[in-house]
Amino acid sequence: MKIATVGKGGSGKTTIAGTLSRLLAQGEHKVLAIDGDPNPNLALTLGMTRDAADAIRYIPSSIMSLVDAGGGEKKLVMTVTQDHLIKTYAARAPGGIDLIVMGRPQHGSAGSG
Amino acid sequence: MCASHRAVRGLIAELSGYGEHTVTDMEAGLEHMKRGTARNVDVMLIVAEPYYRSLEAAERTYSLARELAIPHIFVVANKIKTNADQKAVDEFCARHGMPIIGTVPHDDELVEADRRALAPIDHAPDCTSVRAIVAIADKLRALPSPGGRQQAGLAARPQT
Repeated sequence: MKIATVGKGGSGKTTIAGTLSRLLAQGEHKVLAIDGDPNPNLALTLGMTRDAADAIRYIPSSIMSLVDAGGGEKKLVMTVTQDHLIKTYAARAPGGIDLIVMGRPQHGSAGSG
Repeated sequence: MCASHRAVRGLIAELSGYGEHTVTDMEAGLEHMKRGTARNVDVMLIVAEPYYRSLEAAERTYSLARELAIPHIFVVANKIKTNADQKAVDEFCARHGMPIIGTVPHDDELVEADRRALAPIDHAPDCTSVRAIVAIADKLRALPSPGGRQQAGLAARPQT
């Protein structure tokens, strides 16, 4: 099931997303958590340490490429395989959860988005 | 940034077959909805606090989510302190036809967990707020499976 949490900043959506992920992972169910927030802190609510959270590799937006889908339509495709993406970028959080982080660090100056 | 929004949207679609569940913490605000980032989700949880501006924002998000034909859209009433808070959320949601999947009380344990940089579920697994989220997880598990796109027991969709 693909679940998304949305809400205004400070609404507590990240706490709910992280806790839900941990709960859904109980009993060795496979959960992928995606932090799509520009101020990523899902890692902490999943139970990762600050050090582990700081070490997460952010996914560059170049991972997706806009290609012509015919008829004037464009579509997004991944430039790497799903396996490669998970192996390269996913951090392992408690509960066996894979976490990928789409945001960029506030202080980051690593090229264009 | 636009490229980043596009990437998130595309990734959610691409990773939809990974594991049994994906949980995406969307960015704040409505931009991702306008750009369609949320289109590829089965369940949208709109987290709302018991004050008018938050509820109003929840209502706008709800309308957009309906337009995107997301199969299951729910409000999570969060940081509820009093019966009046609960009533405010209940009445607002009833008026706008928005189903509430659960109510998470205001909980000092969450503040403490944050201060200690611990997951709420590790810091205080039996606190009232975590128990409320347990109830929400139970309801989510009981939802009808979304067209078999993700099936229990499958570790990952094979690459095609």
